[in-house]
Parts: sequence; structure tokens; C-alpha cells
Amino acid sequence: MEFLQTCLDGLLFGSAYSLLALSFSLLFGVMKRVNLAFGSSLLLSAVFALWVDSILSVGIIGIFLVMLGSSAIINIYVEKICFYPHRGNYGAIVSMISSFAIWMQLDDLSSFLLPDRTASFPSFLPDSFFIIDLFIRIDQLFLFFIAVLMTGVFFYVLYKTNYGLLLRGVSFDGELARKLGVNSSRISSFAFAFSGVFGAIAAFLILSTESQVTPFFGFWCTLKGLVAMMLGGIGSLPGAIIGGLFLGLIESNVINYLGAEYRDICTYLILLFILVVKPGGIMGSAILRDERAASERI
Amino acid sequence: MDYYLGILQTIGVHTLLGLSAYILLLTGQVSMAQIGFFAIGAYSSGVLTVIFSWHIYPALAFGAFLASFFAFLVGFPALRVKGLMLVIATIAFSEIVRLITFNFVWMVEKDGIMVGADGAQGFREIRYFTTNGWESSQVVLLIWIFVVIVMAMLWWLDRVKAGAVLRAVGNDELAAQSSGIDLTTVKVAAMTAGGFIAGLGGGLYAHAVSYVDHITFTILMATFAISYPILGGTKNVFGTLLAVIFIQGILIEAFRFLEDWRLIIFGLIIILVMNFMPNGLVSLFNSRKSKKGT
Repeated sequence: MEFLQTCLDGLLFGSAYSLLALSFSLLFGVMKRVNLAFGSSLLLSAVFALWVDSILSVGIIGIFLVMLGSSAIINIYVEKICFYPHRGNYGAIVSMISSFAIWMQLDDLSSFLLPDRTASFPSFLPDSFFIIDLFIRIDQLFLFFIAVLMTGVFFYVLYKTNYGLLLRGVSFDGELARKLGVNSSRISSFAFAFSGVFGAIAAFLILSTESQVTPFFGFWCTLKGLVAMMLGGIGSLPGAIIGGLFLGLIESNVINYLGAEYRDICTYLILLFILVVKPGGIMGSAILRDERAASERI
Repeated sequence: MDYYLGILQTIGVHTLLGLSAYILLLTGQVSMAQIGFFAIGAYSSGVLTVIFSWHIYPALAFGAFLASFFAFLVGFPALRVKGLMLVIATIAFSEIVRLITFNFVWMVEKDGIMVGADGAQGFREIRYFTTNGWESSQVVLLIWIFVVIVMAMLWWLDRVKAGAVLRAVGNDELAAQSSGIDLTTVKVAAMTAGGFIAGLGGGLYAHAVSYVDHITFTILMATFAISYPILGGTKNVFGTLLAVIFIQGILIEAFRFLEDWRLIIFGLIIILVMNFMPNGLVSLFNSRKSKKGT
């Protein structure tokens, strides 16, 4: 029963990782870029929403909406300043370094708005219940369902809408797409804004289950999202979901059986192992078959 | 005076860190593992001088060799992946090292006080220089002697065949392979050499500041390490030095009057440099010469 409980906790929390990994997948798998500033943009949007709330007291719905809007704007800013100027084949590493510089900038802005280092974040549905001895928190269950729902939305946008088609076209061959008259600048901004909104939903759910925000949240998001995405497989959206759930399972079991101090070490060891044995991740072999991606020197 | 010595010391250590990433960047590898090797060098040489009371030079050498040994071990599996995936794999390695230093406890009692590494509390009292009566100017001199040696060796490397081989792998792996260059050997050799330089820098850093902990070894520092050669350009070793002086000396120190706004401006300046000088800072000086040369 203890094992079941651990696994359940892991899966519920892993769904948050899945959401983060999906947002990363959009940028890494589709745009082939690493955005180190991603977590910081989520932190800044959360802190900014709290700041707006402290002045205008907009309530939890208001905080949510402000987070979505500000995250989209911040991510468009990141795209315009770090990624758009380096969209050529050799720009991947330069844009990663630029996003690192922006990461410091955003974290500094956050610490301006968060002078006490830690702030409480409003939580919703703080109830819990038992199903045959299994302890379940309602907000975590809610998080899980939202994650499933948002994954559906993600797939819908990417595979059923016009923007999704253009996005996949640009990622497949930017040059060709531009010759066919696609406004790649707008598509790229759209991708960043979309991943920002998506990440903000994930960040809101995670912060409200944790009910506090600390300055480390940004880096935490970046690392967990990257690891979950790499575990699942690059460029594979189902892989990102499975990677996130898998990461949650591993972490809760390691905490339970080995102790909390081994959690991250085990996570990284497994990541290193998977990268070496199967570089594409659990699900994704697509990026290895993709000649251009494999030969792209960064 | 101490203030300027402190800046010189920071610039020296960061130059070693940047050069260790530079040699890997020549082969086209972007590695975030340098800070892991730096940590290995810092902790192992610290343990040797503090707990085993070794002399400083063998301890530094041991730290550097241990770091290069780990780089050698990491090199083989990590080089199976490349590009952005190598970045992630090396981030994982650096974080593993950092978390090990976070949990690493090895303390002994000496002269009535406990010395050594104390897990999350960090590694305090690495007091080799103060107990042996070194002045801070001598410490800075020692660091810069090592910086000059490493730079001279890397500069010399570009004048012999080995440098050409490294750059060949960096420019076009396929072409290099077809002209009979063994990619794995070259990449692992570059990784090992990079690990050695980073380990040396780590040992010097730990003894110069007398206190290290896991916060020193975060991904932030790893990104600094790789941004020096990228910002400075891979044309020659002086680009890296220039980039370190630019970031640590000018941006961080000279803009202190901006106080909290410093990092915000700092980020923007790095990005502007990236946008307007894609070949790195060294292109400021080399533009005329390189036109004639090529």
C-alpha cells in the first residue's frame, strides 16, 4: 500500500513536470532551441501577478490571468531579443548563451518585486480525501486533470489549427516555409508566446499546490522541464508527457526509499544513462533520424 | 589595493575556466561540465592540503589530474551525443558533482577545531596560504603564472599540428574523419585537457578564497565558463582573456555604482555584443589582420 501511495503521489506531481516538459518540447523539439530563461520568465510572471494583486487585489482568477498575459509578453520579449536574431543554423548555442543573460536579468527583476525572498501564493481547493487508504489532495488531482486537458489543447493547436501547421512547417524547413510565404517571424513569436502561456498555467498550478513562491522556482522549472523532456525524448510530445510522469515516479520512490538528499542525484544519473544509451530519450528517435538535426553543428 | 588584487584573482581563475571551455569549443563541443571538473579540482586539492597537510603544488597537480581523469571518463559516453544534447548531458554531470559536494562530509579535528568539508555548510578553512605566510599579492602572482603557462601552451598548440587537428574536427567532422582523423581520440583528448585546466583553476580558486561550497558550482558558473570563449571568439586564446576582463572587470566591477540594476544592464550588454559581433570580441582587434591573412 505504501508503494501504491508513493507511486500515486509521484504520478500526480509528475503531471506538473509533464506540462513543463511540453512547453520545453515546443521550443526544443519544434524550434530546436534551448531557452534557459524559460523558468525565470515563469517566476517573473508569478511574482508580477502577486505584485499586481498586492496593489489592486485582483483575486486568484485575476492572478491567473495576469500570469498568463505577462508570461506571454515576457516570452515574446525573450524571443525578440535572444532568438530571432540568431535563427540561422549556427545560432543555437549563441541564442542559448543570450537566453542565459536574459535569465539573470529576469531573475533580478523578480527579486525587485519580491523583496522578502518568499511570498505565499494563494491556493485553491485545499481539501483532501481518502480512497481505500490512499491519501489524495484535491488540488493535486485537479492539477492532474488540467494537465491532461492542456495536453489535449496542445495537440489540438499543433495538429488541427492553421498556426500549428505553419509552426510545424517552419520547424521542418524554415527556408522553404519562408519561400512559400510564411511569416516566420510571427510564427516564431507565436510559438514562444504559446509556450509561455502553457508554462504559466503549469507554474500557476504548481505554485498553488506548493502555496508559496521562492526565488529558486525559476531555475527549478527550467531544470525539471529539461530533464523531463530529455527523459521522454526530444521532439516527441507524447514522450514529454511520459517523461514527466516517469520523473515524478522516480523522484517519489527515491525520496521514500533512499531519502530526499538522493532525489536529484538519481534523477541526473538516470538522465545521463538514458542520454548515453539511447540519446533520443525513451520515446523519441525522430531527432536521430532527422538528418538535418543530427548534422546541425551548434 | 586588496580590492584590485581581488579583481585580478577573479579574472585569473575565470580565465582558466574559460580556457578549459575554449579548448573544447575548438573541436565544436559545447560543454557545461567544466564547472564539475572545477569542483572536483577544488575539493580534492582542498582535502589534500587541509586534511592530509600536503604541500600546495602536489595538491594542485593531484586535483588537476583527478579532474582530467574524470573528464576522460565522462568524455567517452558523453561524446556519443552532440550539439544541444551534449549540453544537457554535461549539465547533468555538473549537477551530479554539485550535489555530491552538497552531501560530502569529511571532517577531522586539527589543533582543536574541526576542519574539512561539511556537506551543505561548504568547505571552510582552506587556509594553506595564510598559515604558510603567503601574501595576497603572491597568491595572485601564482594564479597568473598558471594562467600565462596555460595560455602559452594553448597558443603554441595553434602553431603545431595538434591545433590544426582540433580545429579541423570543429569545422567539419565528416571531412576531418575522411582525412584520417580519429574523432573520438581528438574529442576525448580535448575533454581531458579541458578537465585538467578546469581542475587546476578549481584548486587555485579554493585556496585563494579559502572557502568553497556547492553554490559556487551551479549551472550559472558553467554558463559563464562557456560564454567567455563564445563572447571572445575562438580565433585565439586572447579572445577568452578579453571576454573575462570585459565581463568580470568592466561589466561587474565598473558598474557597481548601478547597484541592483547592474545585472539587468549586464544581460543586455552581453546580448548586444552577441548581436553585433558574432565572431566575438577579438574581432575588434583582428578585423584588419584577418582580412589580409585569409
